[in-house]
Amino acid sequence: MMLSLQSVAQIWISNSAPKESSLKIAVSGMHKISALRGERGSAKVIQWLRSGSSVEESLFSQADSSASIFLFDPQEQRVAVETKADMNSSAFVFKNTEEGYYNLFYLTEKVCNDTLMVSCASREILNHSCRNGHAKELKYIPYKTFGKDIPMQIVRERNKGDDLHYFVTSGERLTFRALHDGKPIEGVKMTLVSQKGWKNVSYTNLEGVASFELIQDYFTNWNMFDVKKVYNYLLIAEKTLPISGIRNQKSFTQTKYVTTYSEAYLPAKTNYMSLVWGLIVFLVTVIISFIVVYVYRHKRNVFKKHNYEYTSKY
Amino acid sequence: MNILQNIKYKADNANVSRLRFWIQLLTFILIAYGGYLFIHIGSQVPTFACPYNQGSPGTCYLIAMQHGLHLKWSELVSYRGLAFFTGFLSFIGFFIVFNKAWCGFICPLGTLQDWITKLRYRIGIRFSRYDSLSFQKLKKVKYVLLILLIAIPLGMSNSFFGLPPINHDMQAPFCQVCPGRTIMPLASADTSQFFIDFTNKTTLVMSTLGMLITGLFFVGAFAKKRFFCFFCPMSALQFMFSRIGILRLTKNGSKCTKCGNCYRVCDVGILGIAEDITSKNIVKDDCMMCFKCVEACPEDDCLDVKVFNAKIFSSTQEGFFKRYNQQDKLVKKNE
Amino acid sequence: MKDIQQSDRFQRVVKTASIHYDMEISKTMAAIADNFSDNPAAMKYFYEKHRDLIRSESDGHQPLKKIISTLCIHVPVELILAVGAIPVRSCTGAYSTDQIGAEFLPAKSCPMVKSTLGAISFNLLPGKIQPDLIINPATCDQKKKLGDIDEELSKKFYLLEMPSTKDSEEAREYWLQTVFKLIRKLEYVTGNKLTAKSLKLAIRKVAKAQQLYRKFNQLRTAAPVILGKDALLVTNAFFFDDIDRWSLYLELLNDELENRIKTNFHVVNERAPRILLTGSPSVFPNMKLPILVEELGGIIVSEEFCSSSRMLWDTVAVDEWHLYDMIPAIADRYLKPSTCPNFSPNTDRKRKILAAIEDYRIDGVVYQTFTGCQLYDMETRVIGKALEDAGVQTLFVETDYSPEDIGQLTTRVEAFLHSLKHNRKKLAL
Repeated sequence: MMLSLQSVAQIWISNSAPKESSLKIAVSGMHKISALRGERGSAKVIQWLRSGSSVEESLFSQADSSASIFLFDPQEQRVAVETKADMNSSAFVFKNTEEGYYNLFYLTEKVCNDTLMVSCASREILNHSCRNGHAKELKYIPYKTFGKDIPMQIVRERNKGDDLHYFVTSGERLTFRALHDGKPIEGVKMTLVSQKGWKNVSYTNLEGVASFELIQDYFTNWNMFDVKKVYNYLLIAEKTLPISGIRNQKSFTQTKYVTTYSEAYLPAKTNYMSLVWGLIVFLVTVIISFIVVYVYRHKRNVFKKHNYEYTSKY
Repeated sequence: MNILQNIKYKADNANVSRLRFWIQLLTFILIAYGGYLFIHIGSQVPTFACPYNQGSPGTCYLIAMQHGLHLKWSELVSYRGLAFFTGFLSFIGFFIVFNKAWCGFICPLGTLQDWITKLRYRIGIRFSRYDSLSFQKLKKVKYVLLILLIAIPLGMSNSFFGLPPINHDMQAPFCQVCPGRTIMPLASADTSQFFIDFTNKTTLVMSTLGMLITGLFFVGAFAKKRFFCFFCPMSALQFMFSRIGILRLTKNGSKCTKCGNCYRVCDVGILGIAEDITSKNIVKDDCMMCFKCVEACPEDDCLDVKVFNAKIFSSTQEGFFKRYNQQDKLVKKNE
Repeated sequence: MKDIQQSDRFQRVVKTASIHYDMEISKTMAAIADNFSDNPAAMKYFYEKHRDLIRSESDGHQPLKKIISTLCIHVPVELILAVGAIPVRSCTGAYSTDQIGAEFLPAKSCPMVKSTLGAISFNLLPGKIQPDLIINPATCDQKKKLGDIDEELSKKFYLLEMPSTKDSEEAREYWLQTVFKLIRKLEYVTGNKLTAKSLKLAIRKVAKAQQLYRKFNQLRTAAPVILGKDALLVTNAFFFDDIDRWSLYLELLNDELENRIKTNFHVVNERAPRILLTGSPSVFPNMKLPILVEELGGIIVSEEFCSSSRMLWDTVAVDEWHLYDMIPAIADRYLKPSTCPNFSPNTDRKRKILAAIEDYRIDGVVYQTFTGCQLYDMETRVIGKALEDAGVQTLFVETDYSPEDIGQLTTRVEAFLHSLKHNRKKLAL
């Protein structure tokens, strides 16, 4: 069946569970990753497949039987991942035993008309827990490339302070690099979609790099602003290359790569943490407590000078 | 006199307060900036080596304790429970080496308070003291704080008396109100902890409490010597294991003339040192083992500092007068 | 009654009394200095000071300074020195003034109180001083009531309020208030303000004296190089001597005693029983009991008297050298370690005596009570029992200032010393 170019292309991996899911899901850790509880042993990470270009409204979709699913652990070793199919959704489940970034890829290739549609949904899942203590200095974790297995891969360039405790926040500048077979390519159309639907388009340069400023995309009264809610952004990269070939007895003259990369982000700290108010409370406390202590001590002062004056003879 | 006796004699005449000043300075620099020098002392440190400070060489045990207690009852017998208990044992191991002297010689918040006290002394403003009734009532606050910092993380994963689990925003509750979190980063010129978090009511209350307590810390330390130490849950936790400490402070009650010198110089205001003539181990829960009392006692061998059972520093008549005379440049001018 | 001062009878009584007092002094000094052969050379200063007790205007007192007479060791000497006055402890030990004082007080009163009153009213205090103020602490009843007859004597008594116990917080606070009032009074009398500097200097002076006394005590304990009668004279000199000069001469005495220890010059042999004196204080010239004990072969190694060791023990320790800490420090030092029986409970005295027995290797205790001293008399039971439990022999002596009971005392003391020597031999075997 000829699926429309649009819907086949924009599949992405999401951390949020569908509303009618029957599985028991818990959000765990500082990176708020969905995990499947129950059975014995440690929890398993679960991520869903969605399609569409809106973060909030994308539908949950079933995984294609012909798709390849790659999961690489932080040591770049390929490990097993289980696909769980539910009513209308598919989820990928795996055990996160190593500390660092797990790279999950869902790759489909289909020939449509004259074009090979390679769509890849990717996500980096950071596994880290402070529970049992860790080294004082957190390592800087560079991104890993998998040119052998993934034809077009999107990587996020690491920012300052990008270690195991890192969380993208709105207001940051995000830089993405497109890699074809492990090498950067230019002219890739990159679209950054924020949680509430704001879009920005840019093209990669000679080094395959395009950067965006992830803006805060909605404003409301401070008490209605759910600051601890994790948002997600979606980066859609598209490029058509004149690579021809034959797949499943169908020939094609060009290849269209659509790779998505999604990640969680939090609102910028300045939205909810006020240093000014902190300083105000501190100074007010100091002044008021100082005055209170002073008055109290003054009243009870037995060393006052006028106590020293003697009026009577004896 | 043989060599050991000679050393002991010199030790008895030593000015421990001066030595303590330099040790405090050194350990303050270590704890505030040690991390930059790649020093790592682990996460079971029995003093306020706050991890919010980038330069900290280790992590205060209270934060490890609060995170470690964030587990379900059932997990107590799992590897996580085991991790918690081994961490606890390492804490005790670190602690018993110096016993309560962690408070008097090493704690950076204590050092800070001592510096503020010196400032106040220089200006000539008198200090405040608690009267005995307030003292008895207020000393219980540190135990309340300790119980809360143990119960709240447990209450976040489990349900007490059928009540719903505590909001996850109360994570590491003591750290949110601890003055160490706001003050220690200042050593690295980092004021990012001076915030009020408006996310929800819980964070608002906790962060406001934190700023309030930081403000009170400064005013309190100015008015009373070692103000915060009276309310410190680390002190309460340490006191539970103080009896098995290697460094000890003992009193020989029969030699005590009840002159009260020890009480007079005690920064924390422990009347028990002067009044108690029956106990051997004289370390009370507020004691920070600064040994000012031993320095101020004029009776031979009344107060002793011991390592296991060997005396390393005793109160002596000669030492008392030697230190007394050292304090004084005025008499020389007028003689 | 003011013209009593000028009346003839008064003048005659004063003259007679001073002659008798002087005779007493000479007799006592003869007994102390001349009857013993091994007196340290440095004691000469102290002997002279005592011989001249009421002979002349004391040369140590500067005429521009006020003189303040104190009647108890609970009066903080540092405060008096700090306001630029001279403290003179006026507890008197003369039988001659005792007979005079008996006129004003009931028959069964404490002889020291009678003697002091007599000395005060007839201007026979050390150095014939005329004090600008007499500080009378409300310790024992008899001292307390002295102030009632001040008008009759036209002398200025100041009552220093004392709590009846030293254990409670309220007592400490009460005493602190009393000390403040005393400071006010002293400033008024002298016209000088109490400053931190002057108080610090005064504290340090007294501390120096105490340091030397402790060294003296240490030397006394190390070896029997000086007899108790001399030690009592040293501390007695502290009552009326200039504190700096006293310290200086005590230092010389200490050096001599150190020499004696080095050269093994002992004043008694090893068999001499080591005695602790306690109870009502022996004040010069009432040295009846100490002289007796030592003449009969014992050696007094320590005294728990308020006229000797209690006066010069326990140094004031100050944390911050400002008035707000110095004054409470002084107040605490003059209340808390006190083993005066006027406080109840007085467990500290029991502990002190027991500690002294151990530290000074005491063989026997002589417990002196003055007739009419209710407080020390009542404590004989508690102290006696404690000493019994500790296995130490005690001799309870009730005496007063009159020289009539010397015969009886001699017998008793002799028997006591004999039994001590006997016990020693038994233990040695």
